[in-house]
Amino acid sequence: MNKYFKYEFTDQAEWSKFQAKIQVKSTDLEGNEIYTYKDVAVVELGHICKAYEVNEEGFEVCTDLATTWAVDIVWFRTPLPSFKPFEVFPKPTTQLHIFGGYEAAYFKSYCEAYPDSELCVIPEVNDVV
Amino acid sequence: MSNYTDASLIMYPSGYKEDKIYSLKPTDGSGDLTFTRASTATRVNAEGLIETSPVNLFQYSQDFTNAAFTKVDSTFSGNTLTAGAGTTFKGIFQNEITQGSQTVYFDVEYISHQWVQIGLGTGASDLGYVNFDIQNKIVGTQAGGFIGSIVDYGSFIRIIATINSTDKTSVFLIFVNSTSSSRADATSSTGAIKLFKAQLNIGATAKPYFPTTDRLNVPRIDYTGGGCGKLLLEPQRTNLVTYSEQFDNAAWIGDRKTITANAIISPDGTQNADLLTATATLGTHNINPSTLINLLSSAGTFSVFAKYNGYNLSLSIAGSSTNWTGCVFDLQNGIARTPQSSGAQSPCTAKIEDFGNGWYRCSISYTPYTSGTFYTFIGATSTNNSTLVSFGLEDFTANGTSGFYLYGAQVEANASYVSSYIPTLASSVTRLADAASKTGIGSLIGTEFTLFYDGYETTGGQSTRYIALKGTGGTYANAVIIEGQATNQIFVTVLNNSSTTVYASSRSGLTNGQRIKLAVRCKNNDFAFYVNGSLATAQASGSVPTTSTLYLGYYIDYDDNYSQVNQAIIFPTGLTNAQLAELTTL
Repeated sequence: MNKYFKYEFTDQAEWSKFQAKIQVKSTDLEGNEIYTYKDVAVVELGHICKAYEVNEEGFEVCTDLATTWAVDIVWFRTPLPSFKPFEVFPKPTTQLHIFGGYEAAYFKSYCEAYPDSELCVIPEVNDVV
Repeated sequence: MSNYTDASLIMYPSGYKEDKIYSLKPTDGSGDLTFTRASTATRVNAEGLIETSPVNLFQYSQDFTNAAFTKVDSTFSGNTLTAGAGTTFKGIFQNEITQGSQTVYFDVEYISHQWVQIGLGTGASDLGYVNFDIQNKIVGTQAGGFIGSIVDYGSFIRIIATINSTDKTSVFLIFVNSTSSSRADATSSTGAIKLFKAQLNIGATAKPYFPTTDRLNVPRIDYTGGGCGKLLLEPQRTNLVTYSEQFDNAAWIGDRKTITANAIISPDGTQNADLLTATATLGTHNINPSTLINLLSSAGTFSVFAKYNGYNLSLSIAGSSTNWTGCVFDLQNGIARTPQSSGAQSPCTAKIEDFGNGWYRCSISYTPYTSGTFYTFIGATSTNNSTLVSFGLEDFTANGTSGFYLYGAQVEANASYVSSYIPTLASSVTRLADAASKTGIGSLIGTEFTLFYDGYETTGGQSTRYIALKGTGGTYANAVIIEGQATNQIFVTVLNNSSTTVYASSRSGLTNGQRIKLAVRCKNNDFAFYVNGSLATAQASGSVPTTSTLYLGYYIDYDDNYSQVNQAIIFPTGLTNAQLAELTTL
């Protein structure tokens, strides 16, 4: 069963150390060194913008860039325990990135982490539409 | 071709299910390919419409015991959903956040509880519902814009609800008290219903049922461009644009234009394409994501589906007003004009693809002149070959009524060519890489063999692996690899158990996107490589490696492969030159 987790590492350098744990190195037919992920799929989100300001042209410009390095990983095997301390659970409806098809699975993980979130409570009886 | 009777394995894209592509031969399943793409994706279906793959957005659509369906004061066993003893919410739900026009249905049968409700909600609040009397097969109260219907299949009924959702996070099937029950109505019933299947699909009509488990690893038979279906195998890509179909969302801004949401039928067959109308003032008329996008410093691709409504369209990326590249797309004649550029930014390449009914997918591919964030513009142009100026846009006074229709914008980083559409909402979305393979088929391959591949020249990645056979040992030990390279060449390399090349051949001068038929004969001291009916080179020396695994559309080294496969065949014999010529002739 694939597992999808979101991580924030202290910085890119720290991520690089953990990245090495899930990559394999090989040499291609032309003799080039290549690094590929093994049993995982990875998207590096990098420094996430935490706050925007609209400039004079109407564009949102980042005014508060996180110092942490964000990475999304789908594990095709049991996740490495050493990654656990870096797990984060942003709100499913406003998160920056998702792997296609993992919306429900992430929603479930989020609700396990934050069962009292308004997104996670079951409907109340006889609410008016 | 009579040679097909001699084949030991034939993969022709037709039958498939989650995790598997059926082979036409052998027929006992021993040659069926294992397929992985651990994410959802889209394809063009046989009707020429873009659809999600799989079309059913529910996980475990006929396994309601699975945790994907949360049971609240109810139990499920033996196709029976039974209400608990409480008096509050009773039923099941699954979290699902796809928005827009959609249809949900459940196949049910009355046992001892008469009324159920389909609802879409956001947890504590909701969007609406429909009640059903499943004993008398009657649609009850419809609220919040829901439209309910019932199809009677005799032994069971299909209860259907359609809605245009803007913020749902869950889909509910709830026990209620009457046909006029309010939302999540209380009931003291401990009755039961039979529950067989569930489907949630995009669009206002209930599509044919597609059973799912985890919704991952579903092969895509793609009909882009018409004709027969092709097995589509793509690399991992991310669409960085949010709200890729909702151009009226705050995620999009622009100048001197109005947006009319859901104006016409889009390439996915639903009424969700937006209309951009250029306002009657002088200046640029454009729309663009409200946030600048970090295009990174490597190749990228920006694309959108568009349909003519009086004006043509430009796509551009710009680091500043003077450093940009863009292209004008003639939406009346389906022509991508000569790319333009300014300053330090080198010209992009452009592509336009016909999606029928006046729709075109326009795309530009570029290498940003610097790292960092870029503007990405969709602009209106007054002619079908206008000169672009600042930011890669045209300044002109519009007539106030003309424009174009838009659907499905996509920005892909690390992408030198456009890939299949990835719909997004509030988040960017990643489609993972496709892979098809079959292990343990040494007996089907034999000690001498012919490997045949029919597909399309799809160079653009680091190295597109069309087809490969592999035996034991390291990455390049005991292998036969047919691959394309960015120079529009196709190579075959046969390697022994020491990873030493036994036989190599190539053909150059191919055109991106052209049909290719490739075959390599591997016999001891007798190798030959045919491309599109003619011999590349032959070799009368060398031993054939022992192989047992087939890789289709990818290999185990690089992860940037892109293939469209018409068929793949293994012959457990070395075909003659005449047979190879016949087999590979276009």
